[in-house]
Amino acid sequence: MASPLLEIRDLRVHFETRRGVARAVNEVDLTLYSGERFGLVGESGSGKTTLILALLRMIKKPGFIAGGKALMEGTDLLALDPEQVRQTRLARVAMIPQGAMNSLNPVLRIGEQLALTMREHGQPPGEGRLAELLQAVGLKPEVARRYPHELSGGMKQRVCIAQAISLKPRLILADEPTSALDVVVQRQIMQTLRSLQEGLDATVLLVGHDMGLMAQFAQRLGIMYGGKLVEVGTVEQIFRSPQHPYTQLLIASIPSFEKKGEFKGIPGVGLSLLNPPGGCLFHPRCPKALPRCASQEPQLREVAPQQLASCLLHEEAQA
Amino acid sequence: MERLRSFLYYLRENPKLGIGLGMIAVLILFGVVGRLLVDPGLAQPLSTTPRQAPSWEHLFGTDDAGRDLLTVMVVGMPLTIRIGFLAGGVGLGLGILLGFVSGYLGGKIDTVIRGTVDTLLTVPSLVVLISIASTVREEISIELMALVVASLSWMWPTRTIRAQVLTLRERAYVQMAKLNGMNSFEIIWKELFPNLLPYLAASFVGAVSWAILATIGLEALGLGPQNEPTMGMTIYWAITFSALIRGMWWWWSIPIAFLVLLFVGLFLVAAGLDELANPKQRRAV
Repeated sequence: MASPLLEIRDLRVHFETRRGVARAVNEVDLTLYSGERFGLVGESGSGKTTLILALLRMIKKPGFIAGGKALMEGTDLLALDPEQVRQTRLARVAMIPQGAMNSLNPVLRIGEQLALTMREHGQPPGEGRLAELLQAVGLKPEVARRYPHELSGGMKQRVCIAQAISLKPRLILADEPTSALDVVVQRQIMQTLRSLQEGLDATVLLVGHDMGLMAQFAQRLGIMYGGKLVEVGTVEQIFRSPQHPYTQLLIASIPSFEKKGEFKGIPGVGLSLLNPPGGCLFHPRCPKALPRCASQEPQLREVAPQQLASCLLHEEAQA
Repeated sequence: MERLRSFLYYLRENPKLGIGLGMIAVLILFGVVGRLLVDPGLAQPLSTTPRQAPSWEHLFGTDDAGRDLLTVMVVGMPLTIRIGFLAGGVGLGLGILLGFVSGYLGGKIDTVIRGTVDTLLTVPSLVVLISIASTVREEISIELMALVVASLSWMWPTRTIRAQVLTLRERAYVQMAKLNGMNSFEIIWKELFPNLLPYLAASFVGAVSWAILATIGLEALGLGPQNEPTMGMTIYWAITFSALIRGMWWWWSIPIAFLVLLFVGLFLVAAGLDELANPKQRRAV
């Protein structure tokens, strides 16, 4: 495997609320390799968006980064001063936003918007570079003279991707970039993103909960639950032999053409971050829970080559 | 050229803006062209026969002190408009600065600015204006007059602009600008400001209206520049020399008619710009 690009160690993001501290991201360890496509999956509130916002240092009060490191090419993203943060954004770590519909300034032409951010990083683009960028994401160079309201949703998302790659970042964070688009456009956008990622040899961290999309796009997957990473593995491993009970239920809940019958969800509701259960966070909903799951916290450990899961069932097996 | 054409085309869709701008333009032209046709000296006291009703020689008549009222209008209208634009401009400028800083940066600065504005808004402005104007009365000039009025016309703009900025700064594209490494100043200037332009234009017209009204109020009380024939001062002299009961109707009705034209014009422009700034208010065609 390629060399590590980003090493997240023990990342914690807490939100201080009136009713106590919510641990939105808790003790997350994750390594991303250069040139890989990594998918981060989890239900709403599981901390996936908070994780990428922490990497970009966009956690707003009452939230704060309570601890941890995010080493990228020798620097800790979490220890940069504000000016370094500004320089890192877009140039080294770029973000593709969730709602491309609202992510473009309605009163600026596309070309001006792309140029604006590039100029901020001291790399003013020429006419040619703008055309090149737009063509790279499958748009005509003429789009530079258009206003956002003249573009379709898919085209706007392409513009956002063009902006994200404009400074050739090493790491691209994509927060459900296609959630507002129809499936045909979704597929085209993901293909565009994939070919650009391969061309730049950049790492893409894709956040979302569309398992089908993840299966097609990502090489490795991480599953988050309640702010913790519960399982990491290759797409093959996660889909064929999920090791954590949550992942197993998640995979089992994917509708399929072969299996007929009632649609099965995961029983219970997502946990409250303000009042998390003791022990394993998933034990109240877990069909395989043991008595000691309520008191003992499982650790993420290797269960197969390149596959990690945090579940006491495996600690049992190894012991 | 292309822009002018599309602007003229837009005016057909938004007649309020067109008519309002037209009225203001006519009033300004009245002052500019009028200066070429009449002798400005006739606006000074004792320059012609006093107490003349409108006639071919004195189209708008003359006042008690021997000023030709047509000339007074020609000289006074631009003065009044100038005070309004100066005071409105300074007031709005302060409002933009404080509103953007307060709304975008938030925190302690916001608390201080908002607290000051909210406190000052409760102070009846006319009282303050009267006390300032009567202290500096002796040497008051057009520019000083404008500054006195501007000193109390920045609070509403600050408050409303701050409110607009508060909603704008949470928009996804502003967040993205931040995530793309733009600094605060650039975001305010290049992302927020262009979005607020129509709103700021409407605020500007509102501020100008308010400033002219405040100026005329002060002048009608005799607190304006004594040596300049502004609209408000003309009304002041008409009141002082009891034009109403002496049957000199032209003395008070003509400046009032001009002011009505000015205010209707400003109102129409403000309403038209409001429509431009809030497309949702546009009538369904």
